[in-house]
Amino acid sequence: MRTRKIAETALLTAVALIIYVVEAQLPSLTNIPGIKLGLSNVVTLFAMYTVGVGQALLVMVARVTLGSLATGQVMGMIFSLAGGALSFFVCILLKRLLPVRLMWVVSAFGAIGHNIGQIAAAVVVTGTREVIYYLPILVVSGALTGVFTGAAAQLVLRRVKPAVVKKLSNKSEENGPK
Amino acid sequence: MKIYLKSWFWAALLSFICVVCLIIWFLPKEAGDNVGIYQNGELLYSFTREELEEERSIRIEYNGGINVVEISNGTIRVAEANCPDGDCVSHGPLTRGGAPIVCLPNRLVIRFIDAGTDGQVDAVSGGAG
Repeated sequence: MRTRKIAETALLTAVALIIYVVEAQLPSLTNIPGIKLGLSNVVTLFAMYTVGVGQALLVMVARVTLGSLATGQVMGMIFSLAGGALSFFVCILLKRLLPVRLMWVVSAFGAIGHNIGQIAAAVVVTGTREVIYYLPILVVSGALTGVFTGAAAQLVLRRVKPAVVKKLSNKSEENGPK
Repeated sequence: MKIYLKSWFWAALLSFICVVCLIIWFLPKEAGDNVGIYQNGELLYSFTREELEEERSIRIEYNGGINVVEISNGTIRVAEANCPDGDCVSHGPLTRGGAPIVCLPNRLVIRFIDAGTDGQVDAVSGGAG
């Protein structure tokens, strides 16, 4: 069982990391710091709904840490981790309250939480309250990108779950919403 | 416990949040007369409106990060930076009522400040290379 968990976590981390690194190569659409699609969160969401919250957290932390090293943005790691933590907290909470078909809502609020956490970290690190200026636009971008990644994860889950997930982990029911 | 609400409720809620945020984003912001350059929350330089007319270029370093700030014709912008995202450069010149210029990797913020905040701290810290 332990080995299976390690393998699952490693596999999901690898997938998330590849998506992360590829996305980092794309030029950013705006000149506003902190706005990006966050496609690798599809994997985090997927993990949350299949192998469970604990492993999903591991996947997220590993992806953020390795991802910032791989893309050379070690400075951004603090922001990503702060955002990731708040986002994860929001997602866990909403996941309990909402049915699976509303995964995109969980994701949207998670993404908004991520961007708020990121701004909070930026305020603390740079010691400048002015960064809050970007909060409204980051909430909007979080809502949009969150709906997108959430819908993507929902589609993946719908297609992959019946075939693979039962084999992937029999813990899925235990961790799933009651 | 589960909340079963129709999808459109959530779509409406999210749209509402977006609209409110967009309104806040586009509201005109009050801005001081002077321009300040901050690093790590510390005021490194401040310029009055007249001082912005003089042409100059300032090199600001932070832990190996470099931003070159250019001032000319009353505008201030980051001309060059070696940060990974380059958001500060693509931001363009600082505009009244617009967003402050932020370079998060180099902890740099350029924004309008009140006239009272100027002077003394001017170019004291060793940011300039």
